[in-house]
Amino acid sequence: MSLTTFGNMFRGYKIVLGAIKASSEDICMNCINLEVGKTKVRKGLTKLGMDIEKSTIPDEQKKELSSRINTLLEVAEGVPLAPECSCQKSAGVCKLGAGCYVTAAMDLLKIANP
Amino acid sequence: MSDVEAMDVRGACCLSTAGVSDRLESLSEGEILEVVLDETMYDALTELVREKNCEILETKKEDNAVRVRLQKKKRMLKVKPSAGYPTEEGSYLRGNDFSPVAVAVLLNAPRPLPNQPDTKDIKIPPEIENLVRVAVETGAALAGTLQTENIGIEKLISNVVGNPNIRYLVLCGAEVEGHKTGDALKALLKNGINDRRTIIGTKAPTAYLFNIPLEAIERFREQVTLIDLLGETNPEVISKAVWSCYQEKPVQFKDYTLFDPGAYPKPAISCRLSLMVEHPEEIEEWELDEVVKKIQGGGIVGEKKVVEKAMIMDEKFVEIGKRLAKISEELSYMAKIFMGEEAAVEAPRVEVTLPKEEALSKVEEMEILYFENQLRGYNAVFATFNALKSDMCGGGLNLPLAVNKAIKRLENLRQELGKSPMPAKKKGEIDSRINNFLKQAEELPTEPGPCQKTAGNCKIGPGCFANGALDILKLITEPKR
Repeated sequence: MSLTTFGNMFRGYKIVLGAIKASSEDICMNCINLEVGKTKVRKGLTKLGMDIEKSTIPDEQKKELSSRINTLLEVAEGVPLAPECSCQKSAGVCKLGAGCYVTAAMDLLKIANP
Repeated sequence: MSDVEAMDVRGACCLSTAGVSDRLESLSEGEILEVVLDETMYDALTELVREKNCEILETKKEDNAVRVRLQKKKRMLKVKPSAGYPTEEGSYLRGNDFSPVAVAVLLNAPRPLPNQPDTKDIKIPPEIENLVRVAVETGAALAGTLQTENIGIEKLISNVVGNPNIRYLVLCGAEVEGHKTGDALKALLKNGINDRRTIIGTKAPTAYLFNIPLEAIERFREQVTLIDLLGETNPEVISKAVWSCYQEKPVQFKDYTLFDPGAYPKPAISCRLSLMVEHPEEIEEWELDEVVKKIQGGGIVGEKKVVEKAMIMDEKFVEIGKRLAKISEELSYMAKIFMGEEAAVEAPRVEVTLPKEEALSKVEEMEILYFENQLRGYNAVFATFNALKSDMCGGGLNLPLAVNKAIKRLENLRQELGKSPMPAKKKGEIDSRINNFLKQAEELPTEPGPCQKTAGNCKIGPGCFANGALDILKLITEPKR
C-alpha cells in the first residue's frame, strides 16, 4: 500500500472516531454496536500498523505513522462505554428505524478503503 | 401401468370373493397393486383400503370400470432424540419429541444480562411468549425465541439436529432490527455457508457460524424445510402452521403442502457449541481466514477431525451433566427455603404511579421522538464535520456545502418545532439543542473553496467524507412525519 492510501485511512479513522465519540454521549453508550465499532476501530488501526510495517515506505515515515496510530488508539480507548452493552433497538430504547448511527459512521471508513 | 401386478375383478359380486381383501392383507410395503373393478364397487374398495391400512395412489376411469393403483401405507418412522437433547440452553419450551415441527420466534427485546442485576427483571414481551406457548401447545417439538444471526442460529441448529423427528422449521415474528436474523436463517437454508463459515447471500451483518460442526450445519439444511412466516405475529396462523406439519395426509397451508414425513433417515447428531469464538460480532472480514484456520486446527485434516469428534460428545455425559444441574438447582432452592430467602423474594412490590399531568399523549411522544432522532443524527454529523475541518476538506468545496446544508436543515427543523404540538418545556429544550448545533456551525467553514479532488490533493477515490457525513441523517426512518 502507498503513502496516499495510508493517509486516506488515517483521515477515515479520524472522522469515524469523531463520530463514534459523539455517539457515545447518547444512548449508543449502552449499545452493542458502539462496543463492536470501538473494537473494529482498534483492530483496524492495529492492522493498519501491521500494513505500514510491512510496506516499503521509508523508516522515518513508518515511525511517524506508527506514532499517529498510537494517538488514534488512545482516542479509541477513551470512547466511553457502559459495562454491559446490548442492542438499543432490541431494548426498545432506540427508535430510529432500521438504520444505526454507529454502523453508518463505521461505513465512512469504506470511503477510505483502497 | 403394465409392470405392476393387476387384478381384474370386473363383474365380481364382492371384493372378498374376488380375493382383493386377502391380497391387500398380504401386500408387502413398497409393493404396488392395480385393481380394475366396476364403478359401483369403488366405494367398497376405498373402505377396504382403509381397513387394510393401504392407500390409493392413482384412480383412472375407463368406460364403466375404474382402474385403481394402491399400496400398503408406509409405516411412519419415528425415533428417539439423542440422549442429551436439547443440548443447548435457551429461551424455548420443549413439547412432544415425536412432533415433526420446531418453531423459532424472532425476538426484538432485551434479555437479562449476566453481570447486570438491574436487568434480571427484564422479561420477554408477553406477545412473543404467547407465540412460543401457542406453538408448543399446538404440538411443536420445540418452540423458542431467536435473536442473533450467529450464536442464536448455532444453538437452534444444535437442538434441531439432536432430534431427527423435526422436519419443519416455522420462522415467525418481526425481523430482528440490526441483526437481520430471519434473513440469515432463510439464507442459510437456501444457500448454506461458504468456506469462511459465513452464511451466503444474507443482509445480516455478522452471520458467522464458527462454533458448530460443519456436519451439523449440513444435516440441519437437509433435515428441515422452512415454513417462512417472517413478520407473522398472529398466534392463530402459527398454530395452523404447526398443526398442518403433523398431519398424516398432505394439507395445504399458504403455499406449502404439509404432512408429517416421519423422521429424517439418519441418526441424531448430538453436539454442543465449541464457543471457540464467543463474540462473532467483533470479527472483521479480514480476520475471517485466520479465524477459520484456527477453528480447523491449522488446516490439518487430522486435527480438524479431533476437534469435531470432541464436539460430537458422549451422550451419556451430557445426560448425567443435565441431571446433576437439575439436582444442584433443587438443592440450592431448598437451601434458600431453609435460610428464609425465598420468603424475601416473594415480598410484595410497591408500585409508583406518575402524576397524571406529566403523562404525554401518543402524538406528543412521537413528536418528541422525531426531534430527538434528528438531533442524535446531528451529533454524529457535527463530530464528523469538526474532524474534517482540520483536514484538507476544511479548505475544500464539499465540507462547506455540507455545513450549509446542515444549517438549512437545522433552521427548517426549528420552524417545524414551532408548529409542533409538544409541551412548551420540551420545545424549549429541543430549541436550545438546535441553537447549540447552529453555534457549532459558526465555527465551521461555510465558504466553498476548490474541490480538493480536482485540485489533486484528495486521492480518496470517488467517495467524499463530507457528503458521507451528511448521509448519516438519511438513516432516520422512524417515526415518519
